[in-house]
Amino acid sequence: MAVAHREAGLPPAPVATFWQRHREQVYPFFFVIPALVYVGYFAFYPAADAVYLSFQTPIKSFTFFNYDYNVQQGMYTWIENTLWVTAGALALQFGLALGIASILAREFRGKMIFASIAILPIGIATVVAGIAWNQILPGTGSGYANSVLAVFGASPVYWLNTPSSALAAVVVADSWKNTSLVVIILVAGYASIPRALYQAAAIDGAGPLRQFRYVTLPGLRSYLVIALLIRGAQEVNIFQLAYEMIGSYPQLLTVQVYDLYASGEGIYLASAAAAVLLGIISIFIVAVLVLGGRK
Amino acid sequence: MSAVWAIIVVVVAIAAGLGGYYYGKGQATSAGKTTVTYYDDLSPSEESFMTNILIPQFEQNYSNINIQYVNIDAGSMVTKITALVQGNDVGSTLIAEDNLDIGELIYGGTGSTNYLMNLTSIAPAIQPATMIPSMTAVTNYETTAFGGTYFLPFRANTPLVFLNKTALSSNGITTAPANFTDLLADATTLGSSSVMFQGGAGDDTATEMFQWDVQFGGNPMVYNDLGDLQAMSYLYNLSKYMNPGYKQAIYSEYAGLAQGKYDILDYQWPYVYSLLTGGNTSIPAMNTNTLDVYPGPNGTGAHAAAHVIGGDVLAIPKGATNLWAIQLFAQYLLGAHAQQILMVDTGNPAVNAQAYVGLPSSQTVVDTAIEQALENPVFRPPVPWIETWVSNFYNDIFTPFVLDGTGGGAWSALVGDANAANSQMESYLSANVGSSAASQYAAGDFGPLYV
Amino acid sequence: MSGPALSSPGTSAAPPPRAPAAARRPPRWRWSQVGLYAAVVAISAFLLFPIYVLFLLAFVPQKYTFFAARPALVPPSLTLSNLQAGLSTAGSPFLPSLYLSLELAFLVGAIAILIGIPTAYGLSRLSARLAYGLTTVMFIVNMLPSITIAIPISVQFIKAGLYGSPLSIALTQELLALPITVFLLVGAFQGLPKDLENQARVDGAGRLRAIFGSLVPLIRPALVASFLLAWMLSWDESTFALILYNPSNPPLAVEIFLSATQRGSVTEAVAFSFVATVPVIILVVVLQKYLKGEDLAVGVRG
Repeated sequence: MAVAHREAGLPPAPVATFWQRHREQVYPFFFVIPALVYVGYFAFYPAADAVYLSFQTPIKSFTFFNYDYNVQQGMYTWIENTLWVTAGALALQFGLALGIASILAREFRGKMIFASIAILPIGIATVVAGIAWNQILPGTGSGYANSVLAVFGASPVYWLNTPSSALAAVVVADSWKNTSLVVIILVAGYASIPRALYQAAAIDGAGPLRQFRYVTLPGLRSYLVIALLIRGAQEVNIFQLAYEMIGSYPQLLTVQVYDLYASGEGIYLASAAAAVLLGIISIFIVAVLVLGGRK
Repeated sequence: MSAVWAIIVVVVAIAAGLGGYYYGKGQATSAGKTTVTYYDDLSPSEESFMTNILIPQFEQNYSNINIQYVNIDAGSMVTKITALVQGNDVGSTLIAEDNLDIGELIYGGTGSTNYLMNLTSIAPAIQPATMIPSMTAVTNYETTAFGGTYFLPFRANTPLVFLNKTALSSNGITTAPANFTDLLADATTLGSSSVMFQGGAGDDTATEMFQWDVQFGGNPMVYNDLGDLQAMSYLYNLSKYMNPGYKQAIYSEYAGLAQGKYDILDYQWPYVYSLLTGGNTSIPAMNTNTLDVYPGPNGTGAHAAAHVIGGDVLAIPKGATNLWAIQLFAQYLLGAHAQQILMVDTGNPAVNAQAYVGLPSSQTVVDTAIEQALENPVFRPPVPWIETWVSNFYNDIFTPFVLDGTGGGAWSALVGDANAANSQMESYLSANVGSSAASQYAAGDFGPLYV
Repeated sequence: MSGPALSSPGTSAAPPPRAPAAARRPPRWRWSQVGLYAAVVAISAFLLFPIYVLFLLAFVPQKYTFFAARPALVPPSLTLSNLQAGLSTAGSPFLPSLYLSLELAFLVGAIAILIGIPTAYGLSRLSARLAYGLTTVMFIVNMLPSITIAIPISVQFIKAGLYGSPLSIALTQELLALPITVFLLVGAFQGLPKDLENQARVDGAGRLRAIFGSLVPLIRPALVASFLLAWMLSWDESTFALILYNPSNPPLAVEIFLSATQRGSVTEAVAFSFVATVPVIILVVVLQKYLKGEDLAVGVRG
């Protein structure tokens, strides 16, 4: 450019500064930095703090004691319970949401009403949902679910009696509340799949199931990934609903963190449990991103 | 169309903002008064006595003090006070905290920070001269354990057993079970789902088992001596007759007694008496013909009738201001008048002996039970690691042996669980407190407090 | 059922021209149609049942709900006395709680939009990979157990003098709302034609005017959706609120949580719950058209 300038007889052009040369690439960061700093500071600092504390005790500065102790207290069971709830809830939510979204992809009478019903649970606060589900699936042998059973002449069930049924109750209650979010995301996904693909598949002789497998699912892939990331992390962190319904038995990781944290001296043990939680979530996120084939 | 919605949203937002602002302003205290913020953990029915009777009476007597009452559960209170003290924003604050949770404020944060103000100098002015002997002993103990007074007993609490008389008598049982053998026999007669027990959380469960261990002649702190093992084995056998809801039951589980879900409410705090007899309008009201309450079955040995004493204590967070006002209010709460109201109307045993004078006769049953129970007090040692003791018990012994039923109630399984609990407690002490504490523990130096 | 119906083999004549919109009736009665409606009914029943239970708990006399061994599925009678009892034994006046929660929710929604727009715009002008990465980083907040971060955050706020004010609660709840707002808006910005901004700039508008004048109006549906989701998030949130709230004025979710964990008397919690739920249901139903389909063209596009 300087050469062209000289040849044209113009005085030499000033050399562009870094800023002038890279302005278009740099300026977006100015818009982004405030939010990033805000979120980063308030989120990363406590998280790093928790991991740091997990290797401490009041009298030792680096030790695995907290992890060992937690394991002896039954941490593998807590992890197992958490994973069961996560897997069960995600399976139920995604299965149900896929069903609802595929129904909403069609036209039928009453579709608007069904669409409203499908997202209604989002508006119910978790605390409130806990109250309702405590009356539906209580541990004491009464409750509305048992009333429904009584209509069919069945005897009452103590819903929270065994660990598996208690966890299942939490899975159902949690899925009730959170399926709506997945529905919203998947409906957007369905809308993004061009009709032409279905027509082409139909012409090739594919029935509904094959169309679902070869047209719908690939089209939904990135939406499923996003929904899995959001809901998966939230699911591992499930706390309020579970605490309201089943308390401390069977034990979930988050409840254990809370129980330990609420007792002042248990903060190191709580941090160790929280660090395990963070680890699980991180692994989950990486797995979803890798398997989802994102970009 | 969406413009219309946007306008509606904005209008509602402004209205909500203004409304909230004006309502928030309306809560501000008027000029010239000192405001004391008082934190307590009361059920809605108890709350009304505090906010409608006790506080207005105090404010009438002291027109320049305004009491701001805050209702918050014991655990959240710890986090709240911790945050306030750390943020240097305590203000004029008095708290009524659970006696176990108070330890978390004394050994707050990473275990070495005391978030409470030292009350040694002002305690004599606040505490009445007519304290119950066991409560005075607690205050004395504080000086030995903490080097000063940091909290004052406010409402004593001791668990009692509640019985559905009608259900029992229709099964041929005419007297309350006098000892644990009778209790198991009665439960067998009444059938499955006839007993309720607080099996749902560390604190509540461990509190009950602490007392049972002592009553069976054991030292609860070590988990594995003979009395402890016998108590746990007995509990396992009794659990066959418990309403399965016991696995989630905590101090808030009592209504089932009136609803017929179980017949023996094995240990609840006295406050449920007024709720069972009409205080809770969502359940059928019981009366002296249908409801019986007594200290509970006796064990064996020297401490057969021991009763664990819990309850709430008054404390002042470090850095609180306007001490004179806090002091006056605390004094009022510990006075005979307030103590009697708290005991009669909310079922919280008073710490002021004067409060027991001249009680209405409708209270007789539960007051008699309370007084009997308080004759044989046993306290949990105020060690800073008591919460770890609690969770260790719940995770290592109670969950596998009772809740999961692993081992099918076999004695050998129980011994294995208890020994594991003991050794883990020791290693915890070794890693968190020091080797001397660990060896003290191994030697059995930590045990229940008798006063 | 797949896409448009195939004309059956053997029909040589072209199908009659379809009438416009009126012809979009549901297809003829088929087993798959029955299956569809059966599924709709079953799913709706599952989704509506707990709301119905809430209604029963609030408006049916206690003896048929709480202390019945078999709570009645069909209300034998209705009453307002539960609501009255619940509202009158409240520890603090009820209306300010509702106002505060509404105020918080609108604050959180508004701040989410205000901060979200520039942030999402900036991200949309970066490479897609970088944008996706930074958004994921922001999402990490949602992945932490709230109790672990609630206290350190609250201490920071207290030191900054923000304790007790609605703004402080809103700012902490914002941490949860911002990531999803940014996520939705980045996708929306990315979906706009790239030249739009340049055209506005060429026409003489400054950068900010270009953004707000020509780009933002086009992503209005995504804005409404983000606002709504942030609103709901704040309405639902109680962990941060529990630590930071001003004792004289708890938000509704905190009030419900405190009553529900109190000793056994759930009447108050249910009364509060019901009142808390009604405005939200109205909001959801009224604005549900923004919460679907094309408007949520999220930033998943490559």
